Amino acid sequence: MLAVKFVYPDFLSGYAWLQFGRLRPVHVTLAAFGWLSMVQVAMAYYAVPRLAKRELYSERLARLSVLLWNLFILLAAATLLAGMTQGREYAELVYPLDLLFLLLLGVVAYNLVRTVLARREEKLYVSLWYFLAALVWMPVVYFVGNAMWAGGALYGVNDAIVNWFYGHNILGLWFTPLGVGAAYYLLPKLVRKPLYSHRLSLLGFWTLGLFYPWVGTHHLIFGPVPVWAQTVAIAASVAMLLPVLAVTVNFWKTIEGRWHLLSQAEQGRRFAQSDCTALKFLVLGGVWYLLTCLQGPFQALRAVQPYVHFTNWVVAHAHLALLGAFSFWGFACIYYVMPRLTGKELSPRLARAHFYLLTLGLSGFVASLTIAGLIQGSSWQAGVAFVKVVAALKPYLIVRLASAALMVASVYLFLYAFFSSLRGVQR
Amino acid sequence: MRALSIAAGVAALVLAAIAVTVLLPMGDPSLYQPSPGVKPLNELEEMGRQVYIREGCWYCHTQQVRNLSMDVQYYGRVSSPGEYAYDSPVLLGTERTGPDLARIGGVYTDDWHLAHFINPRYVVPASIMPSFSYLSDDELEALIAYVQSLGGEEARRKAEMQRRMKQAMLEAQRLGIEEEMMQARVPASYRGLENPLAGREAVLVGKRLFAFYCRGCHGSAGAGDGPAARYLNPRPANFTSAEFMGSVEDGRLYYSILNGVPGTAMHPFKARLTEQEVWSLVAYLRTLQEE
Ligand code: HEC
Ligand code: HEC
Repeated sequence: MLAVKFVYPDFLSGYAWLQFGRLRPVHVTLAAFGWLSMVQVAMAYYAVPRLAKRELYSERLARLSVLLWNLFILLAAATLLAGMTQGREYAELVYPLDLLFLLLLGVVAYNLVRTVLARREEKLYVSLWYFLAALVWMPVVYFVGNAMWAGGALYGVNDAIVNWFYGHNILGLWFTPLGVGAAYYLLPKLVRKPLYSHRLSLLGFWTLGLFYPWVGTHHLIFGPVPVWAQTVAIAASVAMLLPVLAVTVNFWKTIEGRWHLLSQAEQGRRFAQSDCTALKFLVLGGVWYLLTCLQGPFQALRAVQPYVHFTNWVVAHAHLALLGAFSFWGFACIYYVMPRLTGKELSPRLARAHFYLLTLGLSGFVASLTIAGLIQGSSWQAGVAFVKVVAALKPYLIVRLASAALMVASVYLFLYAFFSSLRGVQR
Repeated sequence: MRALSIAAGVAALVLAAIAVTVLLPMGDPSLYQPSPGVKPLNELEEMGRQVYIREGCWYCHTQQVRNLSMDVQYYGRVSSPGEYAYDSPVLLGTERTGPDLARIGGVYTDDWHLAHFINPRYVVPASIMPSFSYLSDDELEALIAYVQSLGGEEARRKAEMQRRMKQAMLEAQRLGIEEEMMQARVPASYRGLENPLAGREAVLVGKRLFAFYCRGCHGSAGAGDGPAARYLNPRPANFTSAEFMGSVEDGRLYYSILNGVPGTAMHPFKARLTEQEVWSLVAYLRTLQEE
């Protein structure tokens, strides 16, 4: 669990234009494989044994995976800063590191799957479905994206198609099932009410599996790839509305009648303060999730693409998903789990500050980049000289910087609260 | 076993998607066979490509002209799959923080690129592209060769033409017949044109445009001594020189700004400025001459 946070301070570091080309993959890799993946896997380690009603299959393997993972992140950051890259988005890491990642993924998957197989609880709660699926999908996706073609044996357009199959599916088949699985785990516990509908959650699950793997090529619309492949991707993107609505409706119905828990902690309950923060993060994360997922199909449409593709709009979209939805859920996990592991709550004052600063920062960030994206799209459409558009974006980039600073500040607050609560425990 | 059947189910779903969306296109020859005339990069260009990958240029620049009128208008011919047949990794890109580069070869001269890589703001004051002055001379040379190859044979031809024109310019300078050559370049129909704009307003518009587009090379005061100037050969014109300004007509200034001077860093501004704006610039340039 602890290991998760060592990479944390780097989460938002990628905004310096200086040597931007080197920093950018470090930022993305640390955010995706450092922070998000590690929190989500930590949550799976926490939740799976509890849902299976037995202890983890092997504590030793789990420790090994934590060690390997931190080693992996360290090497990843070092190689990227040294300029060692494969030149494929989200798949920059050099080949040996790809193999290391597959190895540690295998260790995690083996451990958790063995735990599920030996479970003492007959029923498989929907979170377990999601975790299980993620553990099956991710190795396949990562293998296809990074290892199958031995680091660079792919040429031309097919390289792009594979890259985007991979690139979008680490989101769709890794972050999404892990995140949604964790949210399904937390929600009933936090509102003290059973899930609204198990059947609906399974509908969401199977439609996700059915449609998500097909959307990758929507990154190449109007580009030099076959038109049928673009159309398939667009259709699948639109179909993604189904699983998203399933999740949203289910969440909504589950919380119904318990909205007051968002603003005031339940009296007399253990860790009520911390749970209140966790619920805040969970619910707002759900809102971001819905927003991102409505954006997705919308921007995949051929009528919308020309205005948004290649612009900052997409950057906003990506941050809304990773930083909004999945990171908020990640924080919800931490606020829920930490007190239960250490017996101590994080300072409620700091937690509140963390929540509001992060929310404010994220909103400013997404809003400024979305507007900037629309300016870019419509100016290009109108044929305005490129540099003029670059210059026109300046105010929005300043807002973005300020928002990012707010978020960084909020994260440092969180770190401070986190470590001081730990120090208390050791004493 | 229930858990195992779920696992098998989800595995089947993802494999089906891989079969159709990933493997099926791989069987399509039009996606992997080079288009006619597309050749692999030479050694220097390939080295430049490695620098391009290493420095992450591809996070800010796409290399694909989409089948959209807005792309064609800015960048030229639509890209086809066969153009990328030798590229691994392929560098299509996803974001246009900077312009698309698929057709950039030959648009600018080598020395324009050199000054631009040393510091983009030397050349384009409003640029937010990072400076690459930390690259070695060899790396810069390779990077320029690579950028000049983007756009295939057509681009290489244009870049080669730029180099020949540059040699011709320098030769003319050496022989002292540069002015004749520059005059001969401008069609007679342009030379006689008169500036339809005059007065303070035009000068102020021109001044603003000059600061936005031109001062990096021509200098803030127009003396041909901007920060980019020392990387450029031939050097930027000096608008404070009475000798120079006395010898050129408004029509020639107008023509040169619109169409550039081939072989020099002075590239055409046709796509960026309206005719009105160019005339405002001419009006402004006329105010720079020192007594
Ligand atoms: C932070 C994003 C960023 C990075 C990284 C970047 N550029 Fe740029 N680039 C820009 C912007 C913005 C412009 C437009 C302003 C200008 O011309 O400087 C531009 C312009 C250009 C142009 C001129 C294009 C034209 O049509 O006028 C070239 C050529 C270029 N860049 C090449 C490169 C190369 C090669 C690299 C890597 C060594 C690189 N760029 C890295 C943002 C970037
Ligand atoms: C990248 C550097 C660069 C930029 C930017 C630039 N110039 Fe130039 N310009 C040059 C160079 C180099 C020459 C010298 C060409 C030659 O040898 O005559 C030149 C020459 C000229 C000439 C004289 C042409 C002739 O017929 O003798 C004019 C007029 C001119 N520039 C105007 C402008 C204006 C107006 C702008 C801004 C809109 C501008 N330039 C931007 C580099 C630049």
